[in-house]
Amino acid sequence: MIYTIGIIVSFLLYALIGVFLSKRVKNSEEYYVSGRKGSTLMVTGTLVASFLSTVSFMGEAGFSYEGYPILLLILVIFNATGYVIGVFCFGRYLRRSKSLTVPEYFGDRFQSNKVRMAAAITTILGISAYLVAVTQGGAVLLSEISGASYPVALLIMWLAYASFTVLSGAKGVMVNDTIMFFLFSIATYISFPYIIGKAGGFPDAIIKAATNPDRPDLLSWHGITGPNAYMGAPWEALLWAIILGLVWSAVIAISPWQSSRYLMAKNEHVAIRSGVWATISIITIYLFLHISISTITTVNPNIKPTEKVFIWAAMNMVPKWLGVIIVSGIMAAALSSCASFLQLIGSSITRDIMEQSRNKTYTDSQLLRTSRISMIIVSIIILLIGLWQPPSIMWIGYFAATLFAASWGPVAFASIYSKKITKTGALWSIIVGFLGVVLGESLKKFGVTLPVYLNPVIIGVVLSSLALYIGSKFGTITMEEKEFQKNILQRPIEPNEKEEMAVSKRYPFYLVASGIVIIIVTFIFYYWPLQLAM
Amino acid sequence: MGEFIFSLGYGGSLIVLGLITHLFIRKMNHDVIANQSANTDKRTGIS
Repeated sequence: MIYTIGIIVSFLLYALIGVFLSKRVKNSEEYYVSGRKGSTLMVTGTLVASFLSTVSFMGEAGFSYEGYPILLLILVIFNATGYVIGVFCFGRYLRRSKSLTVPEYFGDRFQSNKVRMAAAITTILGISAYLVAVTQGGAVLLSEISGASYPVALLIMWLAYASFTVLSGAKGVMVNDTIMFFLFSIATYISFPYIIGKAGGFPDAIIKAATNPDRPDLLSWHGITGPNAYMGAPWEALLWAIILGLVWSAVIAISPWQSSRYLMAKNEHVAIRSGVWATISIITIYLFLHISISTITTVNPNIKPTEKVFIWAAMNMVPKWLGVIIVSGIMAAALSSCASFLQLIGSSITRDIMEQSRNKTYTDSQLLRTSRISMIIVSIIILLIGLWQPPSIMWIGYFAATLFAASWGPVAFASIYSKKITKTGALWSIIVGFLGVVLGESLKKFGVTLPVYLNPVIIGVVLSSLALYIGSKFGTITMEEKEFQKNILQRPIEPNEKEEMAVSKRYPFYLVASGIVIIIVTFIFYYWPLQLAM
Repeated sequence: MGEFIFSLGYGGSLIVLGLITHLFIRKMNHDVIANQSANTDKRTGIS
């Protein structure tokens, strides 16, 4: 009961914040990109919160608990690079474009409504699928914790995120995302000593996990061996982690729910700093979370389904007050992603599809009204799909996320660095990349086993790149396209550039210092106990 | 051995990213100085 109360109180808080901020949303720029006034803290909060969801705190937690915590962390090494590489190689140029949506950027870059529409349609289809999956995941969790039926839990989830998203748009999403970021970060860090303590204390908890006969080699770099191992030979598991890590790195770098956060940044320096802090946050959160989870295997080795491991720990291994924070934090991770997804879908429908297809420019108040109405309609459709489809189809969410790496990846980077890409190449790259991933996933669904290096995303990236290259042999590059590219390659100099640069220059040091701390923490909490176990 | 490499590599990735960030920011700063210098040359009529 206490957990349900905690969740409901947090939901009410987010809704109230949405109501309060809605009064401050006066124009479309406030609604879509929070007036481009996002601080480093806010943009970091929304970057991390939009990325972490029930996939992280449930799906991946379950994978780690089953036997692969270190393999997952190897994936995260590559995954987290997406923030730094992404902001320098794409995000900051997106910020310079001053677009209100990412499809708008593609449309302006290639001076093509068709390219804009293709990007918008892939945004809407891909993110809707992900939104359904995360909404259902959150509803299943809420249903389990509260005892409410799944349809009621789904309705509550939907109300919680749709309310503040519709009312206050990007502004409300960014503020609530930042609160949620703090909530699940605190939950992860504070639960660590309690879980380790309950599992046997330090370093015994980790020694026990390393020598658990039910999960041999649990804390090895390749994960468990024996009859329950399912990731193949160590080299296959490593290849899988690296490939998936790089795919997710591309997702972080260019997917709309990540890159669009930079559109909200006050300036380019803020965008870059936020990318750095997001990297440090992800690396740290994952390390603490998965070391904790590995020790839970010795306390209760039979949690089923395994994705409930962190929730079980919240209800059985930590004090009630912390359990409430953890459970609310997991719900927050789901809610924050849902809010960002809904905001993006609504923005794209209004700005990229409706405005462009009618060849009409809405006034600001029309834009706000139309955006809110389209967001309400979309959220109701998502609710109905969530009710109709069987829950926990996490593969849909996973497919939806990684399809952007294939569909948008080649054209996103080429749009910045290549002077030879035409609108024809861009259009076909987006379409073929999307279809390539669908083809790959369909093959898997029909029982075709694909080797790890022929992951559907790889198929999509290869086809997308080919389409970009071949398609760019057709069509011409207009003066407007050249001018747009020239403008975004020109770095805007801030009025207080010297001061901003002085702050930004500290950030490499923050990364290096964090890296040294993380190495020390990893040796103390992982490598040293592992050596004792051996 | 793999565990040792992982223990170094997990935090080490942040160090590598720090070096990459340093290179990018140094270039950004250099571009600003080059721009300012070109503007000063223009103002003083130096070709």
